[in-house]
Order: sequence, then C-alpha cells, then structure tokens
Amino acid sequence: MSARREEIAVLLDGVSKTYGRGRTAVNALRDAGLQVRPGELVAITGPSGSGKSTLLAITGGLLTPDAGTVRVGGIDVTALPPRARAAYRATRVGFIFQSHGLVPFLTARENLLLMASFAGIPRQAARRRADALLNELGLAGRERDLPGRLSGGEQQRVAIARALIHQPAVLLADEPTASLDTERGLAVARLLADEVHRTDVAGLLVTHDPRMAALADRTVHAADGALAQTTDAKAGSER
Amino acid sequence: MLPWPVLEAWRRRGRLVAVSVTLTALCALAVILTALSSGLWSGATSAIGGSSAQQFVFSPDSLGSFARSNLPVADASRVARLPGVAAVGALGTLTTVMALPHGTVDVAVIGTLPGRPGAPASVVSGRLPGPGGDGALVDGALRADGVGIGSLLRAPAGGPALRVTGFITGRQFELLPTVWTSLAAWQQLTAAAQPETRSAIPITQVLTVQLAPGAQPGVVQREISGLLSAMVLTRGQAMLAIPGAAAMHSTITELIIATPVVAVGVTALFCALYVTERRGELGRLRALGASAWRLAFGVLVQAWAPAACAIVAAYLLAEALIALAPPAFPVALPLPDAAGLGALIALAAAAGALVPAARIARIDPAGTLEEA
Repeated sequence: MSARREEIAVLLDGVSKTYGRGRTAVNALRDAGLQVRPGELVAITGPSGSGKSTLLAITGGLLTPDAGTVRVGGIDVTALPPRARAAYRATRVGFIFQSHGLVPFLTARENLLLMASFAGIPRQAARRRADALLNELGLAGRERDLPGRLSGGEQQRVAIARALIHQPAVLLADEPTASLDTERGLAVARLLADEVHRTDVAGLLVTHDPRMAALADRTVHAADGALAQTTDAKAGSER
Repeated sequence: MLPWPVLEAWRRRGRLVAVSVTLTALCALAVILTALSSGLWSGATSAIGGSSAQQFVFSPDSLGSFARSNLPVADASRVARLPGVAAVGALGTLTTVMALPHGTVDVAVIGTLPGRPGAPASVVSGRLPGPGGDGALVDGALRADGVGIGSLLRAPAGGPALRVTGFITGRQFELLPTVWTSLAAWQQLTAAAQPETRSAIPITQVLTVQLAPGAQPGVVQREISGLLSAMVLTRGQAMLAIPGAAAMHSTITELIIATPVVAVGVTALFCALYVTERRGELGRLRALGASAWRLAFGVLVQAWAPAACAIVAAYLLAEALIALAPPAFPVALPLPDAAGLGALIALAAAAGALVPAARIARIDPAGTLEEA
C-alpha cells in the first residue's frame, strides 16, 4: 500500500443538513462522518430520501451543510465562499451524473475539452489527456461522435472520462448505471472502479444496486440521514 | 476546439436560421424605413441642409415659414455690418411648374445671390451662372427629362426663361428637383406666379448668414433679432421649418425606434426559451464548475450571432432594393445611418438576452443530483 493511500482524500465530520423548517423539516443528514482514501471507491447505498444525494452535493460543494466539516484534498469545502465553489468543482471534483449529462451538441472529445477548459488546463495538454482517456476507456474512434450517436454504455464511459480529465481529488458518481441494463451497468461500474484504483482518485458511488456496490472497496449504508459503515466482500483485501 | 456557443449555434443551426430570419425581417424593415427616411429627409431639406449659411433670418410674422417670410433685400447689408457676421446672402423659394424641352415638371426654383451664403458653390458639370442674369443650375435628375446645358426652362405663368449653365446634385426642396437662379430672376418668376406678392422694393424670403470664425451663434442671433425684430433660425431649425419635414421626420423616426423595441422582445423570447429548454443541461454545467457568467456569456453570444447575421442580410437586402428603385424615388442609405441602426439592433439583442441570461445564476446546480 502506497504512502499516498494512507492519506485521507475526503473527510466528512459531523455533517448535518436539514431541509425546510418546523413541522415540515426533513433531516437529510445527521451527524454524518466518512473518510475516503485516494484510490478507494466507497459505495453509498440506501433507500430514496436517505440522504445519499445530499452527501454527494455537500462533498461536491453544491450544498452547504448546516453543521460539520467537509475536507477534500486538504481544502475545507465548507469554508469556501460561494464564488470559489465553482472553481473548486472545476478543479477538485469529478461528477458523473445518472443520465450521463453530456452536452448533446459537442462531440465526445469536445465534452472532455469543455471540462478541461473549466479547469483551466492548457489546450495542448487537455487534447493529449482527452485522447489518452478516451483510448483507455475503449472509445478510440468515437472521439468525433456526438452523444446521440453513442450507446448508453459509451455515453457513460465518456462521462467517466470527462470526470477524470482534470485529475480531480474526488470522483462523485450519482447512480451512474441507473439508465443502463444490468450487463452494461456492471461493465461501466467495473470500469469506474478500475479508473479509481488506477488514478488514485477517491471515489463515492451512490447506487441502489448491490451488484454495483459489491464492486466498491467499501459500502456505506445511508438510512434516515445517518451513515452506517458496512463491510463488504472486499473488506479483507489489500484495500 | 471552437468556443462552445459557436459550436452550438452551428450544430443547432435550424434554430439559428429561424431566429435570424425573424430578426432579418425586422432589421430589413428598419433599414428600409431608415433609407426611406433618409431619402425623404434629404429630398425635403437638402437644399437648406447643404447650405453654407449657419443662420436663416425670417420676417417676424412668418412663424418660421419660407412661404410666409418676406424681407427687403436691403436688410442684408444692415445685417452684414453686425459683429460676428462674415457674409450675408438672400434666398427665396418657389414651387412651380416649368416647361422642359419634352414636357413639364414640378420644380423648386430657388433664388440666391451668387457667391453669397446659401448659393451653390460648385457644380457636378457645367459652370456657375453669372451674377444677376437668367442663368440657372439644375438638379441632375432633370437630365432624365431631356434637360442639358443650354436648355431653356420656362414657367407657364410667365417670368424670364432660365438658361441651364450647369448641374448640381443632392440639393432638393420639398421632394422636388431644384432650379437655382439669381434672386432677381426668382423675384420675377414669383411675381408672375403669385401676382399678389408683387412688391415695390426688391424682396427676399430669408436672409442667409455665415458667421465669422469664433463668433458666438447665440450672440449673433440676438443681435440680428434686435436689429430687424426678425426670427433667426439655425440651419437645423430652418430645415424643420420646411412644410411637412418635421412631421415626416418624427413619424418615420418613431417607426424606426419601434423596430429595435420589437427586436428586444424577439431576442428576449428566444433567450428565455433557450434557458428554459436547457435548464437541466446548464445546471449540470454549473455543477461541473462552469461559472454562471461564462454560461450567460454563451447565451449572449447566441443572441448576437443571429442579430449580426440579420443586420448584414438586411443591409444587403436594402441596398438591393435601393438599386432597383427608380432614380427619382427618395431613398438613401448612408453607411453611418446603417451602422448606427446595426449597433442599435445589436444592443437590442444584448438587452433582450440579459434577463434570461441572468436567470442562469439562479439555477441551482444541486438540483442536478435530485434524481437519485
């Protein structure tokens, strides 16, 4: 195990978030705590409304918690002013959405280059990295295709490449296989796990599917805003 | 990679074309109205607008009307002695029918003192008429009626026959081609056409004043007014005093102003639909780290693109129509007017896009994760 993997890439400590007020208040997260190391993929499971997406949104700097601390790659996300959050997301966070979320009028390669431009990566370097990533993810020859010409699995692979092009500290995947059939979903989830391990990024994977969760290094179960650490099949492995 | 708004505009060019066509129709309307306005304004007033005189002296009871004004020519020498006055001329107008070699034509006869303010100083062909004679400069448009240098023009009502010595261009009055002659010839033609205006002393309609370098126009205006108890108008005011000019100018200007207002509405609607339609996509881009400013700029670019296409297309369309219009049709499209209108439409497009673009800042990027 490398020294880097001893570090903590993502730290959530005592994080709480409540939506609404009074009788209609909903506790999306209650004193939640979580640590993720570089190169570790953590699956977050739980029923709808259990706080999984809120956890991702807070880690990604899209929401501010009511209490607690969130640190990603050494940055105190909760202390960032609103203007700095867009820059934080562009440089430190890789998002994979449920329905790929690719820009439909940009080719696969251009989608990656757009993300690279948000992150401020120089054009030459961005082009090299985009081509390398698309090649690694089995999309060689599809670079110039618009998302509408790609299959669902290919679209999600482009989305994974887009999430990795700027070498983020954390990869946040929100049900990335929900729109795929089981076989393609499993293939995408395996690819995601491989990329997390290969690139040493810390990964958080929200999923309802236990077969997808089984591909993660660790599973955390969310229920009524609380997180319960569970041990999965990989608990005894080196990771 | 080209900027994404450019790529989107190109790859979704069906929408770009639809908006561009709508804006082109609006712009073409505005440009053609501008050309018509410029042409009518020039046709109605350029005889005065092109004058070297800066101030025009009307008789006190004229209410600023050329037709009602009546001043002794001798007043010119009194005004010329005032401080700040460089030169004084006289100018009289008469709209009448003239017999040409091949028929008749409506013209505006304008009498001046040659070499004095208000008189034409140059010709496009031929020569300036000599002082006091019956020579005349005529509008080049009359060539189409068979008028040439040496032609004689006669007023059916009487008065001297005018011999053409040269042609001028761009000097019309009340949308009529002009015939510039001496003040003496004009007085005789006016007396023949309007016997009730005969006078025992030489008269003119207005005095034309050229200011000395460094003279204060307001001071000179007051001096002249005090001397003659007369009404003194600037060149611009004198142009508006031409019958119908003010009403025509304001009506067409209002129509032209209405066009950018409609353009604001069209672009605002287009951009509002764009932001609404792409709300989810814009939210995801914000989640990925794109700033609201950056996305709003993309919307603005996509509002400007069809506006720019529309401005160019409308200009070319208007130029083509002007080229096809008969020479006597009063249209003109000076490039500064077209450029000004183009800038106005571009501003209208930006203004129309601003509010929808600002809505991007209110899109909650966290909403992109609510599906889970």
